[in-house]
Amino acid sequence: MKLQTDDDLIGSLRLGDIEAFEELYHRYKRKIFTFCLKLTGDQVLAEDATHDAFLKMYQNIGSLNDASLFHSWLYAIARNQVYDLLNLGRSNGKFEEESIWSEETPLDVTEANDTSAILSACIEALKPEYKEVLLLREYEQRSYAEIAAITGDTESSVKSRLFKARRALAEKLRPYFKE
Amino acid sequence: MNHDRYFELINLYDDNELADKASVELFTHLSTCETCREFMKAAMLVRSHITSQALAEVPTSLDHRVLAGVRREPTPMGEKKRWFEPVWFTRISIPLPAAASIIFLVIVGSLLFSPLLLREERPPQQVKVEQVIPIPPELQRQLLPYR
Repeated sequence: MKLQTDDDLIGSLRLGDIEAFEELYHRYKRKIFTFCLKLTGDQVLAEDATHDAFLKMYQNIGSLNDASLFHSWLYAIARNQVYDLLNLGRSNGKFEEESIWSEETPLDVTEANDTSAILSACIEALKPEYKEVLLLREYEQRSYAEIAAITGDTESSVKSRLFKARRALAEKLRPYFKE
Repeated sequence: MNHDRYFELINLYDDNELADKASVELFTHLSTCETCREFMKAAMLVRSHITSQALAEVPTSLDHRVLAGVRREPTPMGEKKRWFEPVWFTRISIPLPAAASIIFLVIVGSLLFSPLLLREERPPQQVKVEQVIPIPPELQRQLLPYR
């Protein structure tokens, strides 16, 4: 049985083919759920965001003019659902200079010797607008242009946020790299 | 010393966005600056940590929830389509009448034109003209008493 491409499935989905939706869902569910989970840090919120994202995808598939942009488009929907659930305004380019960290202060914990645990805690403590660019760049290997399209931001703003997130994390980790 | 410039270069290097000339400048600086080396190590560790993480497993309950939710939705085109409609539109409703029309035209055409095609070439009808042979005058005189 020939494996259908995403383009084929999207075409069938536009005609109301539920099986095409199911196939697309199974192909992308883990990536979208992981993205939502890392952004929210909460299983229940991540499930809600994932559910809403795929429903929105189904409802609005007709508005997707270029099937090659499906991946970025789906991530943009998921990202917006997360922001809605977290009651954050969708920054969409109107991003203000603020602290990089969320209200919870990350690790002044030096109890943990495990850098992996430290890293996880630090990344978790980043604000969503910094976390998302880091995840999309490092985890999803998206280009600056794709990240800008997903977040509704400019490329230079994406670069700037990425730089600030890395610098903030490096500052937290530096004591562990003292030569 | 302000390390921000080199932090930015490291950031670009991390994303494969750094030009060769700037790369040389960066690595020359890294050979002498511990702070920037620490920053680079941290940046590489962040990437390594993030990329090493596996995708999360999606709970089965979420699968059911999503698929049930979609089934309740109207189709993306706005109307609730029945299960056979995609096949109906792509394979039956248009091709079938088109094929039927073509067959109909062929049948009608064959009926209309077949007499013309099958008719044999007949030679022009030869009208039998009875030739009246005049009675020679001598015979007429001989037969005269008998009229």
